[in-house]
Parts: sequence; structure tokens; C-alpha cells
Amino acid sequence: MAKKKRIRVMLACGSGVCTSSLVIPMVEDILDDCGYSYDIVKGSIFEIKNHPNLDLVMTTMTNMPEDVLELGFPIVSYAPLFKGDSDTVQKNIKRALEDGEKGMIR
Amino acid sequence: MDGILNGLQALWDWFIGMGATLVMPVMVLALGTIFGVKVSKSLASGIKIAVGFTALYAMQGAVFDVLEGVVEALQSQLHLSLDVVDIGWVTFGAIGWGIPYATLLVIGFFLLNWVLIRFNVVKTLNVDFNNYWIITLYVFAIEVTTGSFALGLVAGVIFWFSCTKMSDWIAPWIGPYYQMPTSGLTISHFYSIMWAPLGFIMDKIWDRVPVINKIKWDPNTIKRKFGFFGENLFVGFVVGLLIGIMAYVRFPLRLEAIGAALTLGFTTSFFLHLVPRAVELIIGGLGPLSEAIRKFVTKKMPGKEFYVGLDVAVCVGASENGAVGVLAAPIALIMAFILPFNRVIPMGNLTTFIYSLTFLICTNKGNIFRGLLNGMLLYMPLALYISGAMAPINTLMMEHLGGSFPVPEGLALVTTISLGGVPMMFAFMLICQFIAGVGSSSDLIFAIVVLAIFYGSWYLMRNRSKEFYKEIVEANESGEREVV
Repeated sequence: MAKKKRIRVMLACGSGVCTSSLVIPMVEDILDDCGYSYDIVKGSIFEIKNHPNLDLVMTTMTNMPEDVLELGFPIVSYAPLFKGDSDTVQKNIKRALEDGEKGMIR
Repeated sequence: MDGILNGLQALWDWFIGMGATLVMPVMVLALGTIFGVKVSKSLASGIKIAVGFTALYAMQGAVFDVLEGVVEALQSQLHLSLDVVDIGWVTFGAIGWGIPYATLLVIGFFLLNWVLIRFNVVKTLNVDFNNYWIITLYVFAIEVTTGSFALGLVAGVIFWFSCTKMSDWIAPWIGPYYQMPTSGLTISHFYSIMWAPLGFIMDKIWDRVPVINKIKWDPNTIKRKFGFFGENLFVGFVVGLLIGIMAYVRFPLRLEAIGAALTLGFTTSFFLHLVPRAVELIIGGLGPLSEAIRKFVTKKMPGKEFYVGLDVAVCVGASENGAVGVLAAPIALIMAFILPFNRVIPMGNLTTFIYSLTFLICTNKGNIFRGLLNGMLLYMPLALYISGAMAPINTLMMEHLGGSFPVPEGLALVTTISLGGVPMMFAFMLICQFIAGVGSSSDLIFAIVVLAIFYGSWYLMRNRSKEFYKEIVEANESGEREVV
């Protein structure tokens, strides 16, 4: 697979402690499968605004507060991973990084 | 022979004496190997966990020293009943995982969950690994107060089973309500979903109360900028400073007093801001093991349909949750000072009402005003009183944990409001204490009343879930419900 640009991914759950920590190995697998090289930062949804140059936000949440949406990052929910459904997440990541979609990608 | 035995005994004593810093990594390594995690990955996890606990202990020791002084000053100066500080769920989450048998217990619950799904007793697989701490902590609380692990285990299983059944029960509507990305997801987060039946009942009651049944606050009119009440750094500083001023600053003004108040602000802020960094190492270290177990369990059930139970964080992006979360924090702080006999100063949990009140809001169709009322009338008083009652037991548990675990001086000092957010589990604990002959009969009556209210409201509302699903679908189709 062609070498792609290094991307910055933020994993955000409510507190930045629990779900986003548990999900790291699964997210790494997916990003590796897609052939990305990446840096992962973690935090709560309130901290997303403190990271100005993200390529992708991945979150537990299925909705996002408006002030987070206003930041204009593409947001993909990783909740399906817990069901073992990595295809949906992979598809959404591609829509975000390759088709340039912004906001909550469903 | 005796020499070897003595040596082994010494080794074992040393191992247990090291506490969670060593016991939990070894557990994760052993169990990880059994469930097929690569040894190199498990080793990395183990080191993360040990470092997480070491960092946590250091911070905890620092904050206990400062809190002991302030609580003393509050009592001797202002004669307040407030003598327990809420240091947040994150620290207690780590304590829950620090119990020697915690990892083993949680895996036991996973396997039980799998068996019960296979035999169609429950439909939800609770993969919300991290939140099991509330059960392990209460099992341990029952063990240290009654001396019986078996009683704790029975109570834990009953509570776990009730919550898992509740996850099944909310599953039909929770997905469409929060527009989850795939079907088959539900919420299995113990200390928020157990409020769902009461939330439904309150909604019915508010429908009949004049004036209140007309009030509908629009989340968009309440500024939804989380800013302040979302960030522990600022909440910790401001609340710490306020408490410090109350405890130390008198007229005539003394510079040392102002310094002491500022120091308290900085210390509580540092604690609330950095403890999550330590605990995320512990939880992150559990990641590979939890994933391996999830895979193991799902692989054993090919073609079987079941719900996957997740953390309540899935829901909190909705605008009504954010609005209530922001408004609830100052209300809780004021309530702590005016509620008679309350012992708890809310601090670490002020940023978490957004999660704990979720099911008192969504069951009221996202009505912010009703959500807040429910929080003020039900959640906050119960959670404050119960978490206050847990404070001496928390000290006892920390003493039993061994290792380098910092223990507060005196009888009671710290708690988390989350411990009070599970009145059902607290009631089971009181019943266990009564059975073991260390409880009082007034506690037993309280426990029975609490259980009657929670199970009774669930029974009354047993059909509400399906009804609610229809209402949501109709509202979505007719465009009545604004999709966030």
C-alpha cells in the first residue's frame, strides 16, 4: 500500500479515562490495516478544542455537542468496535480521511 | 523442606504486601496468557499498570495531607457537618481495580454473562470493562465490614444481574433515541441505568403537576459551552479555593491564610487534573486483556444475537445532557451546604453529573427542567448521604489494601459521589451487614425501602420501554424531535 501522510488522531470519551483507553488496541489495528502511520492523542470531549491540528477525532459518543462540531474536525464513532463491527468504522474513517467529509460521520 | 516452605511463604507475603502495583500486573500477565494475548503486549500492559498505581499513590498521599488540614479547620472554625471530601470516581475506580482479586472477579462476571446469554437468561453482553470497579469495590466493602467474601459475591451477582436485565429492558429504545451508529448496542453502565425506572415514574408524575407539566427549556437557550464545568483543572481550583477561603480566611486578613486557601485550590486542581492521567494507564493496561476476552466470548457464540452493553459516555454528546451537566454542578455544591446532616463536600464528581443523570433526563424525553428536578430530588440527596456513609468504610478498605497505599489519618476523609449513585448496591451491603450481625435494624429498614422503591418502580414501568420506543419512532418520523 502506498505510503500515506502521517495523521493525528484524537480518541475522546467522556472523561478521557475509560472507554478511550480500552479501545486503543482496536483502533491501532484498524489504522494499521488501512496503511496509515499515525499519532494518537487522548482526552475528554472537552479537551478536543485544545488540539488545533487533528486529522480525525474518534469518540465513544454517537452525538457531539455543537461547540465540538463547530471545530470542523471529521468525527467517527468507535462504538461499533465493541460489537466486533470494524467494517463500519473502517468505512467511516476512509470517508473522513480520503473523501474529506467533516462533522459527525454516520 | 521447612526452609522452602518458609521461603515460599515469605515470597507470597512480599507479593501481596506490594499491593496492586505488583498483584494486578501479574494477574493481567497470567490471565492475558490464558486468553491468548501476546506476552510482550501483556508485559507492556503490566508495566503501564504498575506505573499508573505508583503515580496514583504519590498524588493521593499529597492530597490527603492537604485535605486533612482543611476538614479539621472547617469543623473547628465553622462547625459544619462537612468532614468528607469527594475526590472523584477516577481514584476510586483505581482502588476498585487495586483489590487483589478484582481482575479475576471481573473475568468471572464475563464468563457468567456468556453462560447466561447462551441459556437465554439475559440478552446483553456487558463489555464495559472499566466500570466493573463499582461492583468490585462494593464486594470488597462487604468483605471488610462483614468478614465474608461470599456475602459480597452474592450481593455483587444480584446487583450485576439486575443491571444486566435492565440493559435488556432499555435496549429497544436507547439505540433509536441516541441514534447509535449500529443496531444491537445498549448501555450497561451500572450507576446510570439503574435510575431509568425512577426516571420514567417521575416523568409520569411531572405530566400531572400543573405549571411544571408546561415547562420546557430549550437546550439551545442554555449556553452549551462546557468550558468551565467540563474541565477538572478549573473546577478543582475554584472549588478548592472557595473551600479554602471558608476554612482559613478570617478578619483581619492574614497573608498566610490567603496562601493556604490558594494552595488548597492548586492542590485539588492538580489532583483532579492529573489523577486521570495515572488511571488511564491502569485502564489502558487492561485494554488488550478486555479485547481478548470479548473476542473469546463472542467467538463461542456464533450466530447468536445479543446486545452489546457500553459505557454511558455513548450518550453524553446529546445537547440536553450537556445542559443538565453544566447546571447540576453548582446546584450540587449549594445542596451540599444546605442539606441537613450531609457530610460530603462535592468536588471530584462535579464534572460527572453529565453521565450520572443521563437516565433521569432521557426517560423524561430530554426535558432539561425535569432532568434537573429529578437530579435534585432523587440523585443528589441519596448520592450525598450514601457517599458520606461510605467514607469510614473507604478508609477501612484502603487500610486492607496493603502495599504503599496511602490511608487517611482519622476515621473518614474521602469518598466519591459515584459510590452513592448506586443505592441498590449500598442497600445490598446494609443487608449483608445485618445478616453478618454487624448491621442495625434501622439500616435494614432503609435498605428494604430503597430496594422496594427501585425494584417497585421498575415493575410498574415494565411496559414503558416498548411504549417509549413507539413514541420516539413516531416523533422522529413526524420531525417533532429535533435530531441533534
